[in-house]
Amino acid sequence: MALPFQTRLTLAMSLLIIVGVSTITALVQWSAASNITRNAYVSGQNITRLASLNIEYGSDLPDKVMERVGDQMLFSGLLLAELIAVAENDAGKSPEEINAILRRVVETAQSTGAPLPIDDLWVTDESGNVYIGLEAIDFKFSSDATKQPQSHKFYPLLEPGAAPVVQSFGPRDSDNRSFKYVGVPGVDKPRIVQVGVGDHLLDSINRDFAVQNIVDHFATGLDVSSVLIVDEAGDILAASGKPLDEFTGEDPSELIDFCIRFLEKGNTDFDFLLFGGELGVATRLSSRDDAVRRAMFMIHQVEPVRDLIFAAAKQILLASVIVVLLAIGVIYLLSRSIARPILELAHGAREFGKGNFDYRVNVKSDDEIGTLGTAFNSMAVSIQDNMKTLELETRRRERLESELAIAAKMQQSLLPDHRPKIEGVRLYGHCSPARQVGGDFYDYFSMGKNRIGVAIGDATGKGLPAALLTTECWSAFKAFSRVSESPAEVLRHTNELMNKQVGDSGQFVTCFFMILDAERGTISYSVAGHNPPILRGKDPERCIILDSEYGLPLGVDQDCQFENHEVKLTDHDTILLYSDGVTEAHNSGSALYGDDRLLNLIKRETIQSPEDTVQFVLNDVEQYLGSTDFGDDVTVVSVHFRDTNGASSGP
Amino acid sequence: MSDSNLITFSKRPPIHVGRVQTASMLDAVNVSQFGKELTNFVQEHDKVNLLLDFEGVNYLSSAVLSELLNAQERCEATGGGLRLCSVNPEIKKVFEISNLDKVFVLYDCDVRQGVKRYQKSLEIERDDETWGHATERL
Repeated sequence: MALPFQTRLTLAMSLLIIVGVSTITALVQWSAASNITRNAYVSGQNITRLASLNIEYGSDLPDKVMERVGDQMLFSGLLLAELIAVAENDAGKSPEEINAILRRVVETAQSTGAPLPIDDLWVTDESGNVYIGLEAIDFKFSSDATKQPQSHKFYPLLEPGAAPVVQSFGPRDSDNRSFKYVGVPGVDKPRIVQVGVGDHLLDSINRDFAVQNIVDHFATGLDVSSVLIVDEAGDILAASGKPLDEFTGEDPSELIDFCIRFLEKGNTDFDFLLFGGELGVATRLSSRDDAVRRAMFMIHQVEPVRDLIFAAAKQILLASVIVVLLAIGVIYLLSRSIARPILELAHGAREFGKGNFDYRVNVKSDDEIGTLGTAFNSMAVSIQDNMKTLELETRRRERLESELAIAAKMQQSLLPDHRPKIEGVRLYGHCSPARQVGGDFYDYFSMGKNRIGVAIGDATGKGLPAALLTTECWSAFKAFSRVSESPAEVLRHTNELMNKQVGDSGQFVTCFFMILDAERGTISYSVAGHNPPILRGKDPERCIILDSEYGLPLGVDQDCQFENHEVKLTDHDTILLYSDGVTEAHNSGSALYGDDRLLNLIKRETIQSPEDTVQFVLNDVEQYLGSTDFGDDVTVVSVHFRDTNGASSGP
Repeated sequence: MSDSNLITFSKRPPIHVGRVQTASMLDAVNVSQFGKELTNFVQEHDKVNLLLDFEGVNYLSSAVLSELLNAQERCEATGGGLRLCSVNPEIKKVFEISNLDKVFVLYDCDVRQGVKRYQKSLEIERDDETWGHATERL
């Protein structure tokens, strides 16, 4: 059972909507996802760039600070050299007194709570022995670079006119702690005046401004998983965040190789690498001297981007589902309004099928379906009318048919109901009308002791008109034939009467009438345009067509003259009377049965009985026709003569 | 069958020629249409001298004879007549069997000769008439 129309309509339209909305949803999802991803790339790029700028700035800062610190230390050294000269020579202060003053300055400075800007302060005599300082120390500067790898550089300050020496941070000779020293020559006598800063300052600057610190900062915020700085040799200069070997399914060396290749390329500012399913952005870090090329690689977390995409997808999907549901609802309502008239029409058709032509479909729309409904209803009206007409027509036809049956019966009753019994004569006739009633007739009747009248006739056409004509002619013939002994006279009288009846209609009846005198062994006959009968003797060679010249069909010419012919019969002669239904029988090829075929058939036939002869002819015609029906009335009469009293056997 | 004509008529004054267009006229529908076409034609014209050309007609049912008789009556009623030509032996036999060959004028020749013979016979008839009138006056 197929689905109902409305369901199919709803399903089809819903399917279309779902397909359409799905396609649009997929497109929007894809576009949203690609937009979000692109934005993620751009923001990853921006963040990386920002971070790299910070790092570039930050990596320079300690050096710059230390430069300023060096300047300050130089100034402090110059000041100290002057103060020592003034204190020793002009004020006559002893080294112990000077050291006490210095300690007091330190204490005062320390009391403010700020860290000391200077950690070390040494002053030597002419020979390089340290005798003034913040702390008592036994140290002598030497020019030997092997003994004092760091301090020996200050030894030349004892020479007159020497320039100040500014050192970078490095391990000092006394205890290998990292210190920065600045030395200036004495002003009153050759001596070394030295100011030093310990590595705590460097540490604090580095802590505040160094690359690692910035890297740490970036690795803890901004959805960044890891940050690392790699140089062109592939060494990791700084790293923070999630260690590289914790990214599942990734080989950290591949990332390093990627960074090396990126640095070697030198023509791009950014490059991207998906690392552990996350977005890695590489950017170039410029350095002050450009001696060493460094790359910063920042791995941005993809999870937030994914969340964003997922959230967008969820919203789009939800919107789609709502749209589809709404659409299906609308479609259902719409399909109901479309399907209802069609369902109504289908219902109407079913009612009609059941024969309920009183049913009217209720479809009142202005569209084609409305037109269909109107047409349907008017069809119902005309079917009803037609049914009524048909009923009347059928009744009329039935009446006609019954009348026709009566007519046929009446016509049949005109045919002879018994065969006259005359010695030496056997006969048989058969008439099969092409329709219920026909235009053919035959008759045989006794005319006294030894004589018998035999007639055959055929009215033009067939069916009812021919039957009427036949009946009329037949009645006249019957009447005349019973009172006259001359066949020609009978035909003449009949013709006269017929002409009055048929007038100028062109209708006519052909007729052959013979009187067989069994005693004399003769036939006397007259013809009115009828197919001439065949006479066959015992010997098949004696087979002649009876002379039928003269004598127009009955009804053609009122003044027509008919002639009597007489033929002497011999023992075992057979006379075959037939209508043109036999010779004009035509099969599907339109070929006629013809006289010759009939003649040859009769020659071949071994005469047994009149019944056999008639049947033989009918069978042959039937065989000739094949599947074609008899087109015309077919009548055959066979008369068999036996010479019982030797009438014809005499000389 | 009823929408195509069985006879095409043409005029070769004073004779109308009706060419029978079917090879066989055996069934009742054919025969009655043939009769109708003839009747209609005669009704539409005055003094119809009709020559029916049976060239190419192979079979006739004897029912056609009735229609021809009717047509002849009608033609003669208009003061004209009916002749038949190009009648093949098969068809001629139908006329002969019913002895109606004596009622109709059948020309053995083709339509051209038929027209000539018909014209000739009309001329003779006219002359006879003139002669008849003349003798009457005498």
